[in-house]
Amino acid sequence: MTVDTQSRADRVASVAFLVGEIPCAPFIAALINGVAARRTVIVVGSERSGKRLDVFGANVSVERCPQSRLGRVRYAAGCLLRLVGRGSLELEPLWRFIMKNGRRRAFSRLLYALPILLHRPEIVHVQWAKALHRTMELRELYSFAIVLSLRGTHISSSPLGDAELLREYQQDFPGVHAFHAVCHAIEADAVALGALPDRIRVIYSGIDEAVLALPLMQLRTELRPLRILSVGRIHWRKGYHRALDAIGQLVRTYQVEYRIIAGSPDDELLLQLHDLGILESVHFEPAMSQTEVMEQMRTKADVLLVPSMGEGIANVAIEAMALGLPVVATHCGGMPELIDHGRTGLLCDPWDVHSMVDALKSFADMPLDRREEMRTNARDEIAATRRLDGLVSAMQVLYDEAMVRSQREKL
Amino acid sequence: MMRQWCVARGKSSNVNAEKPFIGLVLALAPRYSETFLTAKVQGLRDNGYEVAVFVGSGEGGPGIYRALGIAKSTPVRSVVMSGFAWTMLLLRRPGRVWRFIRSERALGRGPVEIAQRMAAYYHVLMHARSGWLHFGFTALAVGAESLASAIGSRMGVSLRGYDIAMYPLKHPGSLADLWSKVDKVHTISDDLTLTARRHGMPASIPVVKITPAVDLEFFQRRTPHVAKEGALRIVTVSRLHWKKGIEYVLMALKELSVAKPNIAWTYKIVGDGAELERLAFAAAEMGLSDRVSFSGKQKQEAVRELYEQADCCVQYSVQEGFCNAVLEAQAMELPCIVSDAEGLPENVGEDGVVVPRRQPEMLANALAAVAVLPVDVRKEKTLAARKRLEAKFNVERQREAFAEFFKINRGVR
Repeated sequence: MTVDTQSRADRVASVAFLVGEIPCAPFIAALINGVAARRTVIVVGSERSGKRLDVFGANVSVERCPQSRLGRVRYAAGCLLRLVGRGSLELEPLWRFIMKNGRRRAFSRLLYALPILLHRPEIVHVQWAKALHRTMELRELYSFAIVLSLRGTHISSSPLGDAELLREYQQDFPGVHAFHAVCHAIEADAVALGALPDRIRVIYSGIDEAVLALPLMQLRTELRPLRILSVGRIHWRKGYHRALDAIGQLVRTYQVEYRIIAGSPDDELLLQLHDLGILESVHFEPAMSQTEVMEQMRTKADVLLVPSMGEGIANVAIEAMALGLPVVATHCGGMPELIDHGRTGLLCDPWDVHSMVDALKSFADMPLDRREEMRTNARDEIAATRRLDGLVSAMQVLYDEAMVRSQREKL
Repeated sequence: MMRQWCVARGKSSNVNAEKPFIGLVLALAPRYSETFLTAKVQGLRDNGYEVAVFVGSGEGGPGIYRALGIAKSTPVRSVVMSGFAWTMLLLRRPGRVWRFIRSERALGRGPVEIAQRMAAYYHVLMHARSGWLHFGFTALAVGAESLASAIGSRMGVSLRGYDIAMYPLKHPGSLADLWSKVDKVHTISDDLTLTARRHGMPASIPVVKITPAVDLEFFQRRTPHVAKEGALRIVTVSRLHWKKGIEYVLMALKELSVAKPNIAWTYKIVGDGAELERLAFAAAEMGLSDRVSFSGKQKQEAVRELYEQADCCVQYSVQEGFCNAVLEAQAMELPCIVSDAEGLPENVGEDGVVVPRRQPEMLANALAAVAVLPVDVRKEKTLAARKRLEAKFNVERQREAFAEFFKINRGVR
């Protein structure tokens, strides 16, 4: 029995990545491309309008569900025709699946099921936990192994405000074959939600060799103004409201230029900007491609501020450290696993403005050689522990484990 | 669609031409549960006014006229609806159409925009009589500046907290046309008047402050307050919205736990809203979950019961035009700690504690001070607050003030 399951896993099972939206986040795209070197890979998601171009390699099949209603109908019809053409359409179980939550949800469930049925991957890797429940239900159509990535909001805060989601997690987590945790902190959250500890592997995000090979820019001697940069969508978890409170205090004694690459501020941040009188010092800038962001980090900033209230591990902090930009981050989620306070960056309390102000002040007052030492330590740390190839190979092992568990279940 | 028009047209025949007319423009139709608003409308009717309510959407009812909802329709429906609106207006209200177009041209608006607005405000142009046209908040009046003059009415607008504080920040300069047309402004606090002035409201426009009222008969203690040794039972009744500053309260409580570990505080938050996840997360991350509870939205009776059992009320908003919950807490003889956001200091008066906003450590100090307030001082302060409410925030006074607000209109047009 063991030999048989082992041999099946050796055949290198195909993986479908459920990414939510396409184009997906760059760190997920990098993982997908890495995995595709060894396996058949399918990416499934909804089309999203946006500037970022697709970043998937030629050997990745992409199933992109259109945004428009007409486009969706055409897409569904196309998928159905392909299934009929192959003679692999089993109407009765599909009908049961799509009608499970009533007629109103039927079409969206059909769209969910079709790309998976078309490709029949042996492993489905769910990137965002909120999509897990529906994916588990898909197993009524055919059996596949389920891998779930444990990432930020979906695990550590969403269930706190949504009792139904919490119930679904508690029901579904024990049935997941393997978990990919982005840090140890989120591993603990998942266990509390019912994930089996021996099925979780902490696999840190990795950075491309090319980024580590970029030459370091020269640090500025005089930090006047102190050029602070933050990157990431506008969301309360990103803690920009805390950062603005900190800037409000910092501008009393320091010359500060704070740029946030995130898009326009929401009402809360807009009011805060006016309330604190820091319109001159803070600039919200439109979202950029990863390459553009990296360029900004290398040339237009003295420090990256990650003011998050909660995080797995902020990928932007890994990138900054790899590029030689010093990081000041909040002590939340997996951030302390990335940053050794004082050696590879600075940490502060996300629930205490003074702590953030003090961290920024101590950075601003840091002599050049200390800053140089800190960023060198940070880059060395990333080079040693956060390489993309390491992430990919660890993920391949995780898939094999998931396959073995799934096969055992069948037997 | 047709049914809606017919209903609206049917109602217009009931208009009593003898009474002075007030048209209230609101975003949503008031539900029967919104006693505050329905009482206000009834108060005006009792004072001899004919009141019609013009709404963007919501339930219909006697004296309520709904917009056609063109913006939310499919393209085909909106073309048909607009065609209908233009035809009916041209046939039945040609004078108003002429004055509307003339006023809009004077404001520099193009023909397409004018045509769209005419259809969007069909319900007002068709059914309002001349008299007063009063907008529930400023953002509603933006784009509708020509309506009152087209109808031959005076134009009034109410300053509400969020609206006047946020709208001009998001749309700089958007209120200029409004200020050029409005005849009278109603505000709920002096601070909002200052905010409006900062956003260009000229001093020449008369402003009348009429605060919301509190049901003082309902919010009345049935049992005297009994302090629990070493305990501080804090309560906030509010929507879970970022502007309510509840995250800062949680930060203050964390501070209080460190600075004064002997104070056994508990914190109840009554209300629901989009920020539950954020606040529950904050409480959990700061290790306060076992002392903070989210009770969801509660009925008034339950809120009153909660006030009976509490030691103090906190409303630490970062933006607040006027807060009824604080007044209700004061009516229940609770010490109130509020932020200095807009209307809050005026709400609580001399007998409340005002803490600068976004300063959790200062809030923690204020909470610590309330925890050790001597019984007699507490009693003196809270009774004084209740007396002030009885004098200034009663329903009758508010009714009279509104009747007075629109009085200038009598016999003028």
